[in-house]
Amino acid sequence: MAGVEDASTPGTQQDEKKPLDGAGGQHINLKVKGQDGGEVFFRIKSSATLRKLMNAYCDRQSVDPSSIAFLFDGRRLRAEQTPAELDMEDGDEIDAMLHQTGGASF
Amino acid sequence: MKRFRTTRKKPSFSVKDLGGYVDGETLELEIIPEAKEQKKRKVLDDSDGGKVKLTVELHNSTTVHDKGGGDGGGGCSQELEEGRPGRRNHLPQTVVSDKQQNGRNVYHRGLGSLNSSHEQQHGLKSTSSAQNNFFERMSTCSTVKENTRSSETHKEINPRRVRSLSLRRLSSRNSVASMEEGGASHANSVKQSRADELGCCSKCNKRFPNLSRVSGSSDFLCSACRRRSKGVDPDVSLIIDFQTYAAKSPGSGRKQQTGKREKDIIGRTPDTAMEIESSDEEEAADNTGSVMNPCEQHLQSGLQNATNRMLGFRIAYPSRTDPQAVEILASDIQRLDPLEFLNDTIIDFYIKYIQSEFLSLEGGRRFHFFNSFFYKKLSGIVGKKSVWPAQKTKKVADLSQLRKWTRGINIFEKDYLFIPVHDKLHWSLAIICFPNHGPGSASGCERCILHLDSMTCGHDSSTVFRLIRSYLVEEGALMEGDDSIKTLTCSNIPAKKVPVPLQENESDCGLFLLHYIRKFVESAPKKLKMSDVENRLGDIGLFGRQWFFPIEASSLRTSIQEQLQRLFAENDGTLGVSSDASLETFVTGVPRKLEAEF
Repeated sequence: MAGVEDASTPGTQQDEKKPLDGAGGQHINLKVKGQDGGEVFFRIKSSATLRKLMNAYCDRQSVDPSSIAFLFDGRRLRAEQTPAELDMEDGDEIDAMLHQTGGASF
Repeated sequence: MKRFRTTRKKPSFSVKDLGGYVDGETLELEIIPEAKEQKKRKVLDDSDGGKVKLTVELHNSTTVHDKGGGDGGGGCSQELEEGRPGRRNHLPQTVVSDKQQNGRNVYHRGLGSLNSSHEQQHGLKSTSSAQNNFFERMSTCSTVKENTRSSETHKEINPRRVRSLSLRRLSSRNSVASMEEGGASHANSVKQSRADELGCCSKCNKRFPNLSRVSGSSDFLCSACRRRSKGVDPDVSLIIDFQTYAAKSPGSGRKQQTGKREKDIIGRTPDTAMEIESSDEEEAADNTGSVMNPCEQHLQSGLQNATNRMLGFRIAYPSRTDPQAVEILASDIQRLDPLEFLNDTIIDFYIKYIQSEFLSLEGGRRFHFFNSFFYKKLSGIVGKKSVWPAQKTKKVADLSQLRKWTRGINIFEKDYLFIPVHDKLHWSLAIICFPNHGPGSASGCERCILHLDSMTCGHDSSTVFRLIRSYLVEEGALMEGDDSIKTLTCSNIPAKKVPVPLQENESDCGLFLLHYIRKFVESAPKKLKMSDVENRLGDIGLFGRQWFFPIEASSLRTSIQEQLQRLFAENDGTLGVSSDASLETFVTGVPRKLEAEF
């Protein structure tokens, strides 16, 4: 299950950018940015679903996955999508936004 | 002597059967375990095939008479079981002793100073017994004695807690308490257990099922001899004698405890006593810290997740292949229940729905709808405070990231841009009109920003305008070609908060936002000027407090809900996802350090 790796040290990770590794596809570094500005780096196979990344992020931040919306360039991400089908590139940024509810002003 | 036979699972008698007991009469209860369990127990207890003998010795006393003869036994039982402090003073003294004394006086720890270790260890009436009227011993290893005349005791002892504590220890079958006790007392208990094996009274030399040791002497006496030696005890003593009883297997007692059996102290078998453990599980866990295996905990949370995901059956609208698709979970439909606040998913879904259902292709080109997170992202970048010149370069860089949100779209070619505004649990709508047309444009259109808020005290319009202006200015600066856009400044973008129908409750602002969009796109004017909005609202056919009836917006709640339910029904099993996804979530959810492991 080599999909997501914690790439908290992006410098070294980016240096050793892996070429295509046969069946799996290319690894790319993705940055998940929270609303507070905090950034978490992930290294994920282009062919791996984003579910792993989402779960990993929520686990790390200790938040309920259902309370977070992941957006890539303003598009809502779904768990079964892969970086490849979204044309994600190395270093791309994913926004992790808290779901918003509203009914009246407080 | 009265005899009762009962099976372990179902006590066939109750305390009331004892009614009208005779002073000094011994009651023998034989509790036979079910055949299935008998084998198991045989390993643990080969002395009498797992039968449990419960011998109750009853002595009359004045206190019992006060309560009325037949009920005396019941009173005893309730006292033993519930330990209700309020009734203590009127109840007879009760002593319950266990014939098998393995030195596992677990209550000793829990009750600490309340018990004299000497009395507890030997489990019999001592000279100070007149002061003790609550003394319980259950199964193999528990003795409780409570000095109920001390008011402090009432406060300190929670009988439920004591019970669950003892049962927990019981199931672990560790003789913890014996370690606490000194070597001499340990020797005593060994001696006693030997006497148990023999089962002979040292005075009358008769075999007797319940022997106790009199304090201050090393003799083991049967109850009759003991009574004779001490004289008639004014109190009633109740001796319950459980023979070896194996701790039952965990989990088998996880049935709901019935109140009826709860009241049945004498008929209560260790089986029903075990049930208390499960019912008191939470409390016991609270008292002694979590005892749950972390793995088990995680597994449970994983299961919970999986279940939630199962419930969260989901669809994508308009389709799964659409890159801009909105994924709706089944749980999102609940956001449309009466008085619920709408969430971003519903807002985005209905905007998409308006786009595909109400707009022609041509109409679709005229409008652009930002997603519900755009404003939040924008406010995160620009910030609540105005941008200082020193920070401006940084801000430009950040805002350039926002350009990706409109990738492939030139917002300056659109007639209207809709921005759902969310802040402080409130939704409102901002519309950018004709961003490409400067003031005094020959086309009769003028760039302006309108803010539609269903609450008078909703969002601060000036903040909304400031954020959107700075976005437009930055976007314009990055645009190629048109100079008039490149030189756009915040000051030459007029903005106005327009009057609109207001919500009549505290929950419908999301619906009003959606209805504003719907009403606006239905009759979006080809030309719009700021002066029109300010002076000729009636002519445009837009806005104003009488634009539509508030009930129209509020009724969207049910119509969107029905629409979603229909979509879910249609997509069930085709686009709807997905039990296998849930399963994977569950499976992959188990390891905690996912980043490293995938």
